[in-house]
Amino acid sequence: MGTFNKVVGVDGVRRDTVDKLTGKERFSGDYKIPGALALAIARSSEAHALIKNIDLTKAKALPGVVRVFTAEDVPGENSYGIIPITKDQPMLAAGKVRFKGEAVALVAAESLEVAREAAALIEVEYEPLKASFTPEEALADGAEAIHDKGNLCFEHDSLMGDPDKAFAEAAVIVEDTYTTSAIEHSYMEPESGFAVMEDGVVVVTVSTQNPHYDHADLCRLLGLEEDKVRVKQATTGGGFGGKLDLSVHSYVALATLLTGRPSRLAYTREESFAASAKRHSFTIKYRTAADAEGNLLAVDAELVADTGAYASYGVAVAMRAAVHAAGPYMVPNSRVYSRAVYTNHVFSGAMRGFGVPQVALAHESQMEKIAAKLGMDPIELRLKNALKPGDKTITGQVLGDSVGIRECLEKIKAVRDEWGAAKGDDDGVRGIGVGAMLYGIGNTGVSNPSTAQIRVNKEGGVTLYTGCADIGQGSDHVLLGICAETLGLAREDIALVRADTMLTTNAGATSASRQTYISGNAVKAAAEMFIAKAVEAAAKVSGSAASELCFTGTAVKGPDGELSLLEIAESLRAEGRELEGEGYFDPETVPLDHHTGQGKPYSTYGFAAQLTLVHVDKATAEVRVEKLFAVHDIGKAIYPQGVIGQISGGSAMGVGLALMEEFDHTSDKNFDTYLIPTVLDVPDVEASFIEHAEPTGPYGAKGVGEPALIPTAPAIVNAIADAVGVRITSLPANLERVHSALQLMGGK
Amino acid sequence: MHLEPFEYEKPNSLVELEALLSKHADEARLLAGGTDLLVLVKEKILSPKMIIDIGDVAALQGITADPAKGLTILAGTKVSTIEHSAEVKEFAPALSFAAAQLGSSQVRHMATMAGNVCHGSPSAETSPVLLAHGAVLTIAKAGGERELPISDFWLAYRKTALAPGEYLKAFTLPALPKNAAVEYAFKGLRGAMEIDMVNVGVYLELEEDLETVKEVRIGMGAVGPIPYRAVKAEAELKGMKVDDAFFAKAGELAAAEATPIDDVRATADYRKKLMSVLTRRAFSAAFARIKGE
Ligand SMILES: Cc1cc2nc3c(=O)[nH]c(=O)nc-3n(C[C@H](O)[C@H](O)[C@H](O)COP(=O)(O)OP(=O)(O)OC[C@H]3O[C@@H](n4cnc5c(N)ncnc54)[C@H](O)[C@@H]3O)c2cc1C
Repeated sequence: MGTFNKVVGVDGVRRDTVDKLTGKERFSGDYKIPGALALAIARSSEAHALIKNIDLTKAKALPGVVRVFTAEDVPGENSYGIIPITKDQPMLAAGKVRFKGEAVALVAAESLEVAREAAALIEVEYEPLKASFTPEEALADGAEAIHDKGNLCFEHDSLMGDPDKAFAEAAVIVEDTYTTSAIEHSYMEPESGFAVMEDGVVVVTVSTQNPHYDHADLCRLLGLEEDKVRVKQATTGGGFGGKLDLSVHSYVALATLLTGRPSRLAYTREESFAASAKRHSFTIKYRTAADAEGNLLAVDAELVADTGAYASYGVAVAMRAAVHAAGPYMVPNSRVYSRAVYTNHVFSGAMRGFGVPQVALAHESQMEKIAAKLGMDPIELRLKNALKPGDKTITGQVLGDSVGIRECLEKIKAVRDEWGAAKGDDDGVRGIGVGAMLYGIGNTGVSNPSTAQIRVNKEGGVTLYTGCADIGQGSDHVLLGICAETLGLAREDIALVRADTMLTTNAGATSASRQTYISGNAVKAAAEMFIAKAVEAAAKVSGSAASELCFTGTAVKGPDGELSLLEIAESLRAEGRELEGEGYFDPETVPLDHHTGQGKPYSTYGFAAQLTLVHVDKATAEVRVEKLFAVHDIGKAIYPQGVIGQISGGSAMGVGLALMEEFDHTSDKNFDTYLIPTVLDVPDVEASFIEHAEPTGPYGAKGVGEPALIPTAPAIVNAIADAVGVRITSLPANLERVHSALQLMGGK
Repeated sequence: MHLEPFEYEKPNSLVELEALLSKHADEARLLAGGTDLLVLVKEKILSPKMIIDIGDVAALQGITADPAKGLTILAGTKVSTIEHSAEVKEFAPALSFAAAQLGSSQVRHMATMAGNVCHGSPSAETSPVLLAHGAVLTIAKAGGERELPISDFWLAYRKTALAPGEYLKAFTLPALPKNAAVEYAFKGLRGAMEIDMVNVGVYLELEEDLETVKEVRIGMGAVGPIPYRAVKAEAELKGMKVDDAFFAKAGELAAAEATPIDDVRATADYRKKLMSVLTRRAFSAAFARIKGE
C-alpha cells in the first residue's frame, strides 16, 4: 500500500482465477443446506392447451412429499417479465400452457428422488389448442391467440429520410431474405439456487445476471414488501443473457415462504434446454440501395423475430435489432419494420447481442453483394460508408467522438494484405471474409442507471459496494480496477460487496455490454466523491485548506501530518455523517419516437471488424475456420486480458452461430444432439483492440461483451461465399446447407 | 439421477469373472469403462440386475505384438492406451488414429475398445478399422474359448454374437503382409465429442508390381444397422490397377453398398456421398502409405 501503481490498462491474474481453478469458489449448488427441501417441477407435455384439471392426489400421497404447489398457491401476482410492459409469464401455468416444458406444478419433498417421482405422478388434463410454431403461422388468420392481446408481441417502426425516392434513384439495389436459428446459451452451470428464511425474510441465493430485477419480480410474485425478500447472487457459471430471466428463483422462494423450510433447486441440463430462454430466430427481408460510386443511399428492412411463448426480452431484441439494422454505416434514408411474434416455442429472450448478430448477417451480406455488383473491394466499400464522429445513425443520433470503425477496417485491410490471396488445396477451396458491426452500449432508449458506494470499513480500509453481477466475464476485476485507480490503491486493498439486494443498490442488469461503462462510471463517481468528502473532512479537522491536502488512498496528508481514514470517519460520525462516496451514472439517451424510431438510443457505441479465412472441403462441404483476426474499438481496456478473453470467447460463440448451432425444438434435449463448437472447431483467435476513448466513459471505456461475437458469423459466411461463390443466407451454414450450395455451383 | 437398483461385482481374475458370468448369464452386464453402459442404465434403456466390473482383471490388460501372429489387444485395455501404444502405432497406425478420435481425452481414459465393439453401435469409432484389418475376436466363457472373425460379430442393431455367459477376451489383428496398409476416415458434425455421420476403414494390398490390387477390405460405419464390409465392392476392386479411376471407383462402389438412413445428424443422401468421398480418400492415403509417401 501507499506507493501508487497504475491499475487501469494493466494485466495480471484476475482475482477469481485461482479459486475457480482450484474449486474453492462455491457455486450455489456447492452449498450444504441442512434440512433443505428438494424441489421438482412438473412440466407441460403440450405446446398449447387449456388446463382442465390438475390431479395431485397421487403425488401428495407419496411418502416424503411435503407439499405440492400450483398457480393457486402463488400469493402475489402470478406474472413476471423483465420488460415492464410485457410481464406476461406465470411462474406456474394458470389455466393454460403456452409451450412444451412450461412449469405446471411444483413439488417439495424430503429428497430429490421423491420430488421427481412425485412430479411424474401429477396428472394434468389438457384440452389441446392449435399451436403455432412460426411467426407466420402465429400471425395467420385463424391462428389461435396465445395471449389475450393476440400473437403480435411488439412492433417497432423506424423511418428516416425518403427511402422510396432513394431506391428510385439508386444505381444498384440488392435484395435478399436472411434467416437465423434459435440458439441455446449453453452456459456450463445450469440454473441453480436455494432459499432460506432469515428473520422473516426470504433469502434467495441464486445464479443470476440481474439480482435487483429478480428481487422486484420476486416481491411481485410472492406479494411481499421489498424488505421481506433478499436476493444474493451466487458465483455464476456463465449467463450470456440466459440468466436475466427468473428461473429457479421463484420456485425456491415460494417453497421456502410457504413451508418455512430451506429449499433448493437446480435444473437438469434437459430442463435447462426445455425451459430457459433461447436466442430469437429471425427472418430478415433486406433491400439496400447505393449509387454508382458505392455510397449507400437507403436501407429497407423487415425483421420478424420468434419470441416464443412469453415476451421476456422480446421487445428489447426487436427494438435493438431495428436500431442496428444498417450496421456501422452512414445511411441517409431508411425504413425498418421490426416485430416480435409469440409462438408456442419455449420463450426467446436475451442472448449475447440482443438481435444484432442476426441483423449483422443481413447488412454484412448486403455489403458484399453491393461490392460484387460494383466491382469494388468489399473493405473499400465499407470504408467509404463507415460512420465517422458527427455522422448520423439511422435513428438520427449524431455520433460523438469515439467512433473507431474506420480504424478497425483499416487494420483488417492490412491483415488481409498480410494473409495474401486465399489458395485452395487438393480437397478444397479457401476464402476470406469480413464482418463489421456497431453496438450500442446499455439499454435501448431508456434510463438504465447504475449506482455504487464506497465506505470506510472497520479495518480502516475501503469497501466497494456494487449491485453488479459478475457472471464470469470479470466485472468484479474491472470495477475494482476503476475503484483502485481512482483512489490510488491496488485492487487487493479494496474489499468488495457485490450483488446482494440487502447490502448493495441497483446496478442494473449484467447485459447490453453495459457494466464496464455504466457501473464503471458509477464506481468512479463514488470514488471521486469519497476522496472529496475525506479531504473536506480532513480540512475541517486539521484546519488546513483543502488545496494543501492530498488523498493517499489510506489517509489524507497535509502540511502538519496525516489523518487516517478511520480518524476522518470518526470526525464525520460526530456530525452524524458517514465517510462514504456514492456514485450514480445513467447514460444520456432520448427515447425512440413511436412512429419514426428516431431518438438517441445509446450514449455511446462499440465498433468492430473481423476477418476470417475458411477452408471449404469441396466434396464433403465441411467448413473449417482456419484464421480469425478481430479488432474491436472498446474505448479503453481497463483490464486488457479480459478484453482479449471476451473477444476470443465471443468469436468462438460466433463460430457456433455461423456453422453449427440450431436449436431444434422438437429433438434437442441436451448436448448429445445440440452441438456447440469445441476447441478443435475454433481457430486461434487473433484478438486485438483499439482505444478511441469515449469521453463519457470511465477512463474512456465502452464495452465489449456482446460486440465480441457479432462480426464473426458474417465474416465466416462472407468467407464461404468468397471460397465457393455461393452465398449462404440461412444460418447456420452447416454441412448440408453448404453442400447444397456447392451442388448449385456444380461441385463434384 | 435415479438408477434402478443392481448388484455390483468386481472380480480379480478370469476364473472369478467366468464363474460370475456363467452364474448370472442372463441378468448380468459387464462394465468396462461404463461410458456406453451407464448412459443406457441412466436412461433406463437397460436395467441389468448385476453389473460386473472387469476393471480389476489384470489378465484382460495389455497389448502384445508378435511378427507372426500379429497384434493382440486384450479386452480391458483402455482406448487411450491403444491410442498411445508404440506397438499399435507401428503395426496398426490407423487404429491408433481411430482410437484418438473417440470422444475426448477423458472418455478415452475410461473407455475400452471392447466396450466400443460390444455396444454394437453402427457408428462406433474403432469398428471400421477392425473390419479392415480382418481382426479376429477371442470369445471366452467358463470352460472354453472360440475365435470369430469380427465381420461375423454384429448380428443386428446393437446385437452381437456373444452368447449368454460369453465375453470378449481379446482382439487379434493379423500381421500386415508386405505392400499392405490400412487407413481410417470419418466425418462428424464437429471436431470432437460427436458421433460420426459416416466412418470407413480400408485395407489395400498390392501385388509385387505395386500397382495391381491383390486384396481389399472396406469396413463401413453409420450407413446401416451395424458396421459391415462392402463385400461386393471388394470383389469388384480386386485385380484393378491403382490409379485415380480406381480411387473414384472404390468410392462409388462403397457408396452403392451403403444403406444409410436420415437421422438428426445427416440425411441418407449426404451420408452416401460422404461414404464415397471418404473411401476414395482413404484408399488414396493407403496407397501413399504403401509407397512410403
Ligand atoms: C461423452 C462421450 C463421447 C463419446 N464419443 C464417442 C466417439 O466419438 N466414438 C465412439 O465410437 N464412441 C463414443 N462414445 C461411446 C463410448 O465411449 C465408446 O463406445 C466406448 O468405447 C465404450 O467403451 P466402455 O469401455 O466405456 O464400454 P462400457 O460402457 O463399459 O460397455 C459397453 C457395452 O459393452 C459391453 N462390454 C464391455 N466390455 C465387454 C467385454 N469385454 N465383453 C463383453 N461385453 C463387454 C458392456 O456390457 C456394455 O454392454 C462416447 C461416449 C461418451 C459418454
